[in-house]
Amino acid sequence: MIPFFKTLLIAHVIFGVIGTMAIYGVLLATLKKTPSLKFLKCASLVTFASFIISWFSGGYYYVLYYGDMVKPRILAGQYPWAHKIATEAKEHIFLFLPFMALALMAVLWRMGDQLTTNEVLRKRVALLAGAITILAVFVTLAGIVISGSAR
Amino acid sequence: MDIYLFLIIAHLLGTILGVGGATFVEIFLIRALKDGQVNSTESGFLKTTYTVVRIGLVLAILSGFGFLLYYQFHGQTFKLYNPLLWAKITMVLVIAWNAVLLQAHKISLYWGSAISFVTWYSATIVGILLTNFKSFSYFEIMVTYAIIVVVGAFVLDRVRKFLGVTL
Amino acid sequence: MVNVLHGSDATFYYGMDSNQSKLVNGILLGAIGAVILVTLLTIIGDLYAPLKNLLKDAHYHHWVGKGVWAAVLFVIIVFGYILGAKNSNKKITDKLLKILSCVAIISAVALILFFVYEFSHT
Repeated sequence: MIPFFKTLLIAHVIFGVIGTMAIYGVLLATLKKTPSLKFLKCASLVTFASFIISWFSGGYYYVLYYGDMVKPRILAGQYPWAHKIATEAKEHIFLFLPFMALALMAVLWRMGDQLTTNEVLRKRVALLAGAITILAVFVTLAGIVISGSAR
Repeated sequence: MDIYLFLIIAHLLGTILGVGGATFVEIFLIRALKDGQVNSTESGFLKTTYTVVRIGLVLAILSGFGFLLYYQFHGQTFKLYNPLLWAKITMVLVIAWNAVLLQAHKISLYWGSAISFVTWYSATIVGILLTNFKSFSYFEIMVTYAIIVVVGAFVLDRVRKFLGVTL
Repeated sequence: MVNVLHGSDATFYYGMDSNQSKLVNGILLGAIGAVILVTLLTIIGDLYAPLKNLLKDAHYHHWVGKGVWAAVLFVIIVFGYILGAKNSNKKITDKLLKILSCVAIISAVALILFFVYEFSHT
């Protein structure tokens, strides 16, 4: 693999993991009765920015390298389901994340000051953060499964 | 320094902070609850220790994914299907999920603190088994882990009662 | 019960400027639209080859096409809502947050089950 694609893959994985940890941080913070607005704004921004970087770096790697160089190996190997299920599910579910992260960021940046007084809002924000966390963790685990199947 | 050595150092540092922090969370919690309530100084110590645990977790996870990338670039992707690795990943997810449940007050301190404490140590031991090329199935590891959590919760409770602490 | 609060009364009651509310609600609605579109394009595209080919021909790769179309729909919904919505408030925000969370999880499960089904039947 040439350095360009290695860099793309590293960026995709590391920023994906950073985004996942950041949204997990948002989830934990919103479960408090008095969450820190500064932390929430910062963490939601990190989540969104990380998912965008992971999207583009992963997208380039996927379109320009994975399709021709990795996918055939997986399909011909012991674990063809790793592409047919894991990659297919991952590449499409990943597309949800930037939009969901942007929505969460919009709510926190515009309405975050109401979280301490509006219990319903706080719980709904926690619900969205939880949904994003679950999907991000799934995407991460799918990535490990896919990488492990390419021998 | 080569990248693999750097990852080992980072991963070990994360583990030390996480396991050490989780240990001191238990110790500070026992001390704090001796008089039945947590005052502001005790709360401060606990908050600081939680932060140390979180830093350890972040470092361990980032370096962990560094290893996964290293295996990818060095033709060792077969390691990503090692059952011990998946047992360790499961334990990290348990630590994270347990923290959510504790924060949301959906789990008692009896189970929550035991799960956190035992899981950090278990993940460390599984990591040692991994690097020493030991072979166990995912099922064997997880059943053993579940038993240790239950036993650990019981033992921690007995230690607290011995020291005069009730949750 | 009819909502008779308007303008400044609504701002006082719900504690939020109406334009700000429209932006937030528009983005939430846009995200819901994007999630649903990606899911539909994926499932229908796999079952109906001309759609997948259209995405590929227009955008080099079908996956790129799905991302582009989702982003375009998102922008259309956000601006459409800001310009077209008459009432927008915090209660709608609460509902949209719940809907987005549920729609995303249901769509993800649907996609996974779809691919498992496809794999087991090829």
